[in-house]
Amino acid sequence: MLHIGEGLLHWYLDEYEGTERPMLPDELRDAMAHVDQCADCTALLDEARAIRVGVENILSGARPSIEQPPFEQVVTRANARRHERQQFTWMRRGRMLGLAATVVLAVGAGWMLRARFPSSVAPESAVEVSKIAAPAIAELNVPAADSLGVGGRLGQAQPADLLEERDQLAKLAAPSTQATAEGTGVRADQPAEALRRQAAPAPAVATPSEREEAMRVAREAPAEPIFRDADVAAFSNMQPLTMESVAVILDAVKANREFKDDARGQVSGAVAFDEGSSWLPVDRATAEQAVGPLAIIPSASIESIRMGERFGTAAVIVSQRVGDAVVTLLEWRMPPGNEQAYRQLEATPTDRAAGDARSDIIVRTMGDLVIAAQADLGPDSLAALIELLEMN
Amino acid sequence: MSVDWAAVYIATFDDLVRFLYRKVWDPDRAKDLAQEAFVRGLDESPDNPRAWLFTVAGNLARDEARTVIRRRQHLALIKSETNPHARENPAQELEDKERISAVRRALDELSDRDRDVLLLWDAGLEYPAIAAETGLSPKAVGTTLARARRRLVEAHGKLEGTHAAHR
Repeated sequence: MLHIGEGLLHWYLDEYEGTERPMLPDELRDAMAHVDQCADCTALLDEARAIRVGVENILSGARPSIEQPPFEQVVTRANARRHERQQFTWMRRGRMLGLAATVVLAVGAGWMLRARFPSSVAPESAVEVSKIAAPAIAELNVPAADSLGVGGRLGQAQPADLLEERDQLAKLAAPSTQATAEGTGVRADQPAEALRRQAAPAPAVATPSEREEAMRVAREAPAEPIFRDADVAAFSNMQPLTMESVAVILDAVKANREFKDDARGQVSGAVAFDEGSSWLPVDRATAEQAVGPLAIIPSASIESIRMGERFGTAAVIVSQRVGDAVVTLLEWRMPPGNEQAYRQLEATPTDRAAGDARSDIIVRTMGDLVIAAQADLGPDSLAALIELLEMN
Repeated sequence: MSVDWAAVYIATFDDLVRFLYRKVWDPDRAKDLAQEAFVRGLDESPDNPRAWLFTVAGNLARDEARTVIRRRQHLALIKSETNPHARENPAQELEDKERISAVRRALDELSDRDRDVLLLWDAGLEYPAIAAETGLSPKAVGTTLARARRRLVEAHGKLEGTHAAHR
């Protein structure tokens, strides 16, 4: 008979050693009957046993000391997760409402503009429209097309799209068409003025050279946004939402993901404080109750405050927006007896990966409060910001 | 079937942490991921909670491996600098580090499947559960374990030999 395969021997050792032979599965019972009579296989079994013990010894050299946290912690965490999911759902609904409101505003503004210039481009017949509009359309350039409001997307379109729109307008304005002024979609002031200017002396139809020239102008003209800076400013005067008032946009409550940490849906960047347990969003009072007074950069808005555990103690991550950057401050109280190490750490420049400003972390201490700061900023800028830190 | 997660937690948490630790090599992270697996479990009622937890934990560890490259090395520096036990016995600490490093490197010598099977076995899973987790037949689990154990012992021995030669 052939000798027994190692797999069977390990199976026996792992699952059945010490079991009465009659209780073994058929395959193992036969195998062990052979082992009993075969010196080679007995040696193999002994060797397998020794290897097994060896592996246990090796792996025991890398066993973490495990202090089992109470199960309630898991339940609390699960509840927080559910709560966060609910908040997220509500915030999505809020965003949808905001979007709907924006659309209503845009439509309303368009309607008002249309109502403001109702008769300026309302000739009495389609033929008159064609006489007036064709040359104007032929001289159409992109900024004018922008304010036409055709389809509401012209201002953001690329030149090729503008040409297509222009051609459509030209077709509508041709003598054979039955289009009315409304049919052309012409309603804003600038083209209306252009139409009036061109009305008397213009030829009925644009010449090929005029059309070519218009196309050239359209091709070369840069696309412009529909909304001007002034419009945007009006919107941005609205009160910004803060994390504390909305929700956390996260699929997991961990700070080791790139997460969208502000209500405007911008990615705040990878947060480097990626170790430790969950980081739950809390308000400042709760955070300060756990960790004590926090250090923040005065005059910079707080995007979020999260609380978790680090180095076996409560810790807080404060995200603050400074201009376009988000500064992330990990704060915790230093354990007694570690002061010297922390001071040394504070004085030691961190390991900075070339070309990756985000890997910079600057450590500062304020009394027994340790602050590890990081931002999408150059180290000097970050250092300057950290100098501003203030504690309540 | 509802699961008594509290009982499963008490019986499985340590094994799960040990299993995860050999994958992420960070005890705090391993604990965190183990808890995360239980957090996810509370919304589920798997037939075999223990096996289910190891599956989830394995996936979490894989995700962790993907993000680990984005970790900042100096955080480890901060951590080691601030570990209250770190300076109590520097020699012991160094020895521990070397031992863990040797185990880690020896495990790295194994193929993914061999390592997974070995770690699942070390975490206390029985052959049928390991088979279900890895897609192997129970008999093949024995063969895989035999190979994995032999390779681990050889790789570790080699590393120890190299280390001794350097001393």
